[in-house]
Amino acid sequence: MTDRQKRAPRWRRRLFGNGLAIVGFAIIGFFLLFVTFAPFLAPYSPTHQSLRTTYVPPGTGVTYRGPDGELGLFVSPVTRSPVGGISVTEDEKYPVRLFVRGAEYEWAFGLIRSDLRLFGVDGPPNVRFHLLGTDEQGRDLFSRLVHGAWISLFIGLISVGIGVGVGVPFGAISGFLGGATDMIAQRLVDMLLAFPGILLAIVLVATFGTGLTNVMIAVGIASIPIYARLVRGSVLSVKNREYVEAARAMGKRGMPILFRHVLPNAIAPVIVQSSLQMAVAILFAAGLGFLGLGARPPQPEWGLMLARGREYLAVAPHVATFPGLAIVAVVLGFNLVGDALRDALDPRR
Amino acid sequence: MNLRPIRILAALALAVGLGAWATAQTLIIAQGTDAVSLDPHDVTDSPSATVTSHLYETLFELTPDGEIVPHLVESYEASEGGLVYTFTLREGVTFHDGTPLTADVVKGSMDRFLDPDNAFTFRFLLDRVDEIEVVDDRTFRFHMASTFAPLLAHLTHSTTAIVLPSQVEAAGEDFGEQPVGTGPFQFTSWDRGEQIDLARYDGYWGEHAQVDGVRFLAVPENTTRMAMAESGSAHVAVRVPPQDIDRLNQLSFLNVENVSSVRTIYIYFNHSLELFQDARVRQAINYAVDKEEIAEFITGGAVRPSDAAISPGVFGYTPVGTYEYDPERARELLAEAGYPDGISTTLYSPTGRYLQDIQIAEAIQSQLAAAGIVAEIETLEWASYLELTSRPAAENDVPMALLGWGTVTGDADYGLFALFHTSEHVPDGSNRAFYSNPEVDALLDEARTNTDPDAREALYEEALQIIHEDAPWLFLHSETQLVAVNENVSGLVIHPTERVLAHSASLD
Repeated sequence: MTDRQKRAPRWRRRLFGNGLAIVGFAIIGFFLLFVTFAPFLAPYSPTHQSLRTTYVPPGTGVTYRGPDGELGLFVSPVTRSPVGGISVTEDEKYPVRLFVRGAEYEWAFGLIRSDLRLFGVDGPPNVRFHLLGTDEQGRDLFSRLVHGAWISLFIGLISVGIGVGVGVPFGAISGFLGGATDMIAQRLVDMLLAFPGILLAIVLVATFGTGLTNVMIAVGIASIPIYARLVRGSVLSVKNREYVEAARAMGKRGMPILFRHVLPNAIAPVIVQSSLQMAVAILFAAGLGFLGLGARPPQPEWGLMLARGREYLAVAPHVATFPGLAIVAVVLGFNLVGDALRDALDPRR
Repeated sequence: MNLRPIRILAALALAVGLGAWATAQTLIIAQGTDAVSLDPHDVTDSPSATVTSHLYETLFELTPDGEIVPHLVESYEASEGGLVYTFTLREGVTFHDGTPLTADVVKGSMDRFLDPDNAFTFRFLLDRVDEIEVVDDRTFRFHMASTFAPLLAHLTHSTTAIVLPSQVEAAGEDFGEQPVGTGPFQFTSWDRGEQIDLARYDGYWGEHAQVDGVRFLAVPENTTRMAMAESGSAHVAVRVPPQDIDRLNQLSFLNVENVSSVRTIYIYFNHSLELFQDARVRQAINYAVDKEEIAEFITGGAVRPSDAAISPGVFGYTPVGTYEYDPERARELLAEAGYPDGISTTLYSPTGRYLQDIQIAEAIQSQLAAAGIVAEIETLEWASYLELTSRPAAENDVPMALLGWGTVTGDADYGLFALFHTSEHVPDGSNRAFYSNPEVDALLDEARTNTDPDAREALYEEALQIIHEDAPWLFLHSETQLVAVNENVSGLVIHPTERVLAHSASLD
């Protein structure tokens, strides 16, 4: 018992004593913050287009001195002329304030209705403050990134859920029963593992049609064999331990032993894998979006935004850069946390 | 060991090599897509037609100004009543393998094009030709089934080019990769998906090409294609994205040419679906889209909002009006049609096929939403896109799709008959909207056979007017060709039929 009491803090110390893990947790923390408070943090609707302010670079029309010379953040109206130039009406300046009232939004499936935004322009609605500039349809890039976080998280959760939900029982039963069942089940897993994950996902999406739902299912299916193989391994290492023997001796049989005694002791690698798999799923989904197989316009999916922004790389590099950075950051975050979890849960250390 | 002689030899070889490279002038044209086939009869897309136009020639030619002039024929004569045309071939025309062009060859080529078993897409261009009669080596006759006004215009279409029947037979299935024509350039090699090389044909009957060869590169990625023009690794790059025009024009050695095109961009409504059988719904969608704003801000003014179903510069074009942007009117019309809460549908769009196509589709989506019309956007790869949109009505559930049509014969028959006549419903024709109006059919039939140009123009005006009111399409715009050309290129022709022609181009 004393041994156990000592181990818990060490586990935690290992996890949070690691600097990189802190960075990872911070990134995921921000990410979750964006997901939770998206419409409040984003000053505008992610799909509101304005063809007169297309691909405006960040900082255009922004000044730090107001009309009377006072310090602060001010924006002037910006318009793009059809021939390509951007014109800023410099004699009009409106302050950027915190907690402003903007367009009304619905959140949490219609439970919350509000028009309060974290920041925005105190001025006419056509004067807008674009923190990260606008994209090729004149949509606010920051708002799109913030709302896109929800799509990425959702894809990650659902596909990891599918992978865990199917792969874990499959692998556990395969390892626990052994013999012919194990043999057949593992050959099936071999078949799925023979394809690189992204290729398998592309094939599935191409077969069943494009769209976010199918992407989630496809990426989930692609991760099933990984979980199945992983869990089978840990079930094999656990199933002959003394406490399992003890349960058998007490007269328990079959599945109750597997789910009550074996699986709980074989689940640690699944937690590590799920964190890494979140990163993989988000990356796959962005890749499919980039190829035009995932999210449909005007959904603010990061991969799709990157693909569209690429066309404007020479004239407006920010349109592709920010979604790219967002993908990099989130994938890095989940990977760092996954690595840290693996180190912390490693029984050999 | 004394290396000096070897070094001198190597230097010499290098100098000779560089010299040869400097003198062999190859014009490099970066296209958006590779050719599909080099069999002119089988070609239906302009990137392929661009290449075949250098290899093969047609009996007549459409000048960039829209004039029809004899090309492989020297003279022609129409009989009284217009049922027999007698053509005399130009003298001294030879194919790249040395075979002279004779009336027999023309008959063989035309028979192949018209053979229903070959099922060439554009067979309808000449389907009024009953029989081709060879009179002598240089003379042949077309016997027509009925009078057919656009005959000469249709004989300028690159798909009616004269091929060598003996080569068709010799090459068999590989004919599309082993072209032998009469054009100013002959085929050298084709690395599929990469490049096509052509060399000057020194036995050409007309003015010889100035450059030693032409190379067509297939560069689908816009940014890469523009980078090639900027770095000088291509002399010509087609389809400049509007946002790059300014930047490229600022480079001293590049010019972005802006040439009008006969291509009309539209979104058709599938009339076999109940929703779009009501003209008010179709009109409402026309009112709900701000064509001017899209033209100005998404394409940088590089397109012209349509005021008819065909483009200016096509015979038979008359402006018949536009649906001014009016989302309120759109809502009213929808309410009248029984949809007070708006409608929801799906809009299909290609990506990268037409100028800013997906960007335009997204802008339309957003404008439609403002009028209570929810449109999901569906994008598909080009080949499957065409397949899906040309299924027969019973299996066709594409409600709206963005497409373009280049009236490359310069005659309204090609632009209207193929897209609006009842007999041209897909999969046999190109009427993907399943539009059918007996009045329009009658007008188009009449305009085909009437040989009086003034009467034809009047008939087309009436047809265009009815089509405008019926609104079988969401009328968008006619395209402009934006082509980046290096300043050391002269004599290049950017044809309104969306072909870049190097026949008289030179490099300094």
